[in-house]
Amino acid sequence: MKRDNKAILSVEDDQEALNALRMQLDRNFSDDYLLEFAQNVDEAIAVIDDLIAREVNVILLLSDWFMPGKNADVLVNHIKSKNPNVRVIVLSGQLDIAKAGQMLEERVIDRVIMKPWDEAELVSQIKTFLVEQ
Amino acid sequence: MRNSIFTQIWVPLTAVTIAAVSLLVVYYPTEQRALFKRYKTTELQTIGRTIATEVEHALDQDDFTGLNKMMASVSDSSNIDCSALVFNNDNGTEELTAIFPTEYPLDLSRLDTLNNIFVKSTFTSKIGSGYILIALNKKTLEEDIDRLNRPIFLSFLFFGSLIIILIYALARRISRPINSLTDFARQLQQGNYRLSLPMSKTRSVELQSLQQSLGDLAGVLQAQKDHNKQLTENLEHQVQQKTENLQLAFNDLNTAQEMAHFANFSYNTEDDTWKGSDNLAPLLGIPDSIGNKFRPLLTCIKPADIARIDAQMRIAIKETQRFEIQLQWTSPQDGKTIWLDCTANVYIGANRKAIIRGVVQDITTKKLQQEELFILSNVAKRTSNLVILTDTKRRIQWVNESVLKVTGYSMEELIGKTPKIFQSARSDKQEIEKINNAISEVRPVWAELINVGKCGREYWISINIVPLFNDKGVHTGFMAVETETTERKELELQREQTIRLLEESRTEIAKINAELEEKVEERTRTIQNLALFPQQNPNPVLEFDLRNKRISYQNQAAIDQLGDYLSLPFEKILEVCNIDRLSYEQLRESNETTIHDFTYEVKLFQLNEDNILRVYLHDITERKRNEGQLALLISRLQKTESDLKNKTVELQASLEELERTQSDLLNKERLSTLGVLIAGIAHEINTPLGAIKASGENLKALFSKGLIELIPKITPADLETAMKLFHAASFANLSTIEERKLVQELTAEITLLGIEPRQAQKYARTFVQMGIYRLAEEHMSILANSGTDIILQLALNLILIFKSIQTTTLSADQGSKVVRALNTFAHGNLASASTEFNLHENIETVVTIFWNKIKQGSVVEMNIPKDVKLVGLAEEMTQVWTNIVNNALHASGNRCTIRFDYSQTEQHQVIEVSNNGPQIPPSIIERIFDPFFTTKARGEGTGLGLNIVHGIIEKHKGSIRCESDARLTRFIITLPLNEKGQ
Repeated sequence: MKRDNKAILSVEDDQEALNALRMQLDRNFSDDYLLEFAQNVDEAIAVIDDLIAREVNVILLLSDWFMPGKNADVLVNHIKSKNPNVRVIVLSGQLDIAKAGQMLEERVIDRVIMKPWDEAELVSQIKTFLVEQ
Repeated sequence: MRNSIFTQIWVPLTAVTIAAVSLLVVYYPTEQRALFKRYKTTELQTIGRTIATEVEHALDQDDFTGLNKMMASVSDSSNIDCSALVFNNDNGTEELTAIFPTEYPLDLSRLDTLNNIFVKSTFTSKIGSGYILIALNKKTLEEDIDRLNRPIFLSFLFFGSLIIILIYALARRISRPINSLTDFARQLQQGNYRLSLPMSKTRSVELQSLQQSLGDLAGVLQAQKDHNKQLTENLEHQVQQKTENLQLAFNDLNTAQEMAHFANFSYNTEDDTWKGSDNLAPLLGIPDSIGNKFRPLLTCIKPADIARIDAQMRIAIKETQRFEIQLQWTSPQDGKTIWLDCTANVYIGANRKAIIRGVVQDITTKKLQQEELFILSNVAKRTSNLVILTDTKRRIQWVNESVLKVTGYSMEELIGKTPKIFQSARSDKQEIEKINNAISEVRPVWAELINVGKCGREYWISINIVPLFNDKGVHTGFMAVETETTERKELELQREQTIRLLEESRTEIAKINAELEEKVEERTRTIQNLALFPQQNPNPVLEFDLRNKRISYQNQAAIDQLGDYLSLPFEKILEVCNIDRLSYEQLRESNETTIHDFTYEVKLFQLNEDNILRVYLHDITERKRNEGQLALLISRLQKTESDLKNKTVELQASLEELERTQSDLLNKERLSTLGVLIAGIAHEINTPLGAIKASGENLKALFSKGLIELIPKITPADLETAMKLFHAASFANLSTIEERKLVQELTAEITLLGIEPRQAQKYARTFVQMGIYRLAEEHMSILANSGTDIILQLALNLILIFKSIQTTTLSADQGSKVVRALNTFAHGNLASASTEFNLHENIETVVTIFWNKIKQGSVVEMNIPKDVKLVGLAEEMTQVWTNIVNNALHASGNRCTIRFDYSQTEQHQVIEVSNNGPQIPPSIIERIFDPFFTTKARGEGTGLGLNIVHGIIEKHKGSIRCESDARLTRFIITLPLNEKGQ
């Protein structure tokens, strides 16, 4: 049963990686959730605002961390101000482990998945978070 | 007289006359003599012929009387010898037969041609033939001639003399009036204008007119003379006045000279004499007796100076030029040595000898002041103290070298500024106010301040400010003498801190002591109280019976705490209690003793009974321990002080150690840069890797579910339709917002076809994914078809498979590009040979490596032509760009525009790397290329990055400089243009 008022937002600056990710998410979650994609933080914020205007809640954010212009911390702050319960998965190629650990500890983010990622791992993690919601 | 008219006439005419007379005197006798000789000869021949005829006749007649008579008369009348020689030449031989006259035979010995003139006349007669010889004595002949000539000479002389006399008279006559005119003119010349010229009637008209003119001239001159006389009188009067003035001026000059210690002199090199103004002798301290020769005065000049002065004077004399010398002069009168400044000019006198005229000045005072000033200025210049001179407005006029060294400013930067430029905000405000007050009141002040150098180094100074006044007492400015006291101040602070700690400790100790004492007193009081009740005293109390040498009393505490000791002999117990038998009397003296590891204070009381000594043992173990700890604390504090001093030495050693390990660090820097880069690059590789992996999984899913499962279900017609859709598909990367809009529009369109909205949306999404945003006829027919789902699904899957393949390829390319760049970069440690390489590609490698950071908000503007070649170490050059780009990104938080520009001159290639990140502060810009200089946090940078850059550029024989302002920071790299370079 598709829940039209719940969306998963994926943000990735690399076009190819985004395409591949999109196919994976399409295949696994398109039946049940709105899938939204953005290539940078500004676009993602625009998407969030657009979704909120249409009374859609972003319940899960899947995002790269370092991106052109702005890093994902801006995005996380923004999305949490709209929906404090949003789950955040960082999909990163390289992250300062100490910093990541601190963010996890402070519950700024909920999970870090390193690139190259495993579809099964990603999907099961997303599912876990979705079930909790 | 030589050129007078008289001599001009008389002398030449006389000479001509004498010459004419002389010519005649020489010429005439010669001619006359020849003539006379010829005449005599002719006469003799005539006589000869006459005699010959007579002889013939006589011979024929044989009458010789006539002949003899004639011959005798001839011989008598003139000085003639006459002989007739008769030869008989019958046989052809001549034979003298007769000689006539018989009375006067011819002296044949006189027949020489030298003294006589001979005439020979032949005759022939019957008897024979012969000849007659007539000889005339030449001497006689000469005498005759002379006799004849004398009157002629006399007449010549007479006429010559007459002519000369005439000439003389004539000349006199002409020259006399001229002489008289000359005399008159001479008289005029001598000013005797009243003399009139005696008139002479004989004078010519011209002379008379000249005489007239001269007379007129005399009149005019007389008038002029009178006028002149008047003028002269006036002039004389003026001259007298002037002379008086001059005398006054001269006196003034003398006074002035005396006051200025000036005197003038002249020195004649010809005779070594000197003259001077009146004050010269007093100035030089020369006694009058010394005379006017200069040589004796040479001893007054400092011997070391003489050669120099002599040389200088010789040159001056040779070149006839002005000279100036300074010398030391010892007065012969009082032996005082003074400094003299002598300025003089050289004149050449009439006899070509030099005369030196000039002035001497006693500059001893000036010289001493100069020397003092020189010493003082040297002190100011060279002292390690900082010396600053300002004007009254506190604007810096001069600073010494130490100021420049300590502050790091240049002289130009400081002149005109106020010393506020040095002040640190951390200075004590009160001290600054103290200085300001003193300066506004123009009085000296001393203060201690913190100053700050050009590059931000702070240092302590003690400053002494003194107002300066000129000799008129006018305030001209201030002088500040500063001593850097940073080290002292730091030590002082440390000491103060230590002292404070010590003080605190002491206060604490005192407090503890006081408390302890109070406690002791309290205890004492208690004890005293307890003394009445020793049984209840918690401390041991003993009573010694000295007479019986035994313990007469012990309380319970004594038994508890001393235990076994009490059973010892009496003397031993006394010993244990540290009671000296001799100190019985000193009851107030308190001793200490240790029993069973406890320390006791021993107090003695003499009881009423003389021989009973009561002993209180007061446990002070704890107090002792406290005291011990305090002592320890104090010694520890003292140790801290010396430790602080040692630390400086340690720091020095560390610095040396650091320098030693510099080369190690240089290598480490490369590795650490590489390490940081690899970490950054991980992201750049992992992202495409993630895309590839995800695509692989996508392909797997699409293959099994999208193709294998669908293909058996599809009809050939539907397959064809699906393939058409696949081939027609276009691939646009849309944002989800755009996509949603398109899906909505298309859903509405599909819904119009009578398809249920949810289904319609699903179809619309599929179409949009295929790049179909509007329904064409073929799409409508697909939707009308029963196998719509399968057709669309298959077409979409085919498109997705294609997309996945594309993703894989593109990502793999991207990944390999990064790996390639990394490879180029890391290669740097190996290559050391100079090669020609492409600058654009070289920089592009670095941009790729930093892409992870750059993309976070930076822009790279690459203005380097793609064909520029550099010659050098390509890998080392990548390190140059790496370090500069890394710094720019780091300083700007990865948000800046980095520009690469290139230009070329005839000899150089110039590469400029600029960024609009934060400005490099002017205070540190000069140090950025220094080793170990870093603004990054500890651990973030080695401080070697730009130093290495500098090293690499130098290795390429180029130069690098950095300019930074609020707008732009530029690194300008200039490399020599190589032949191989473009």
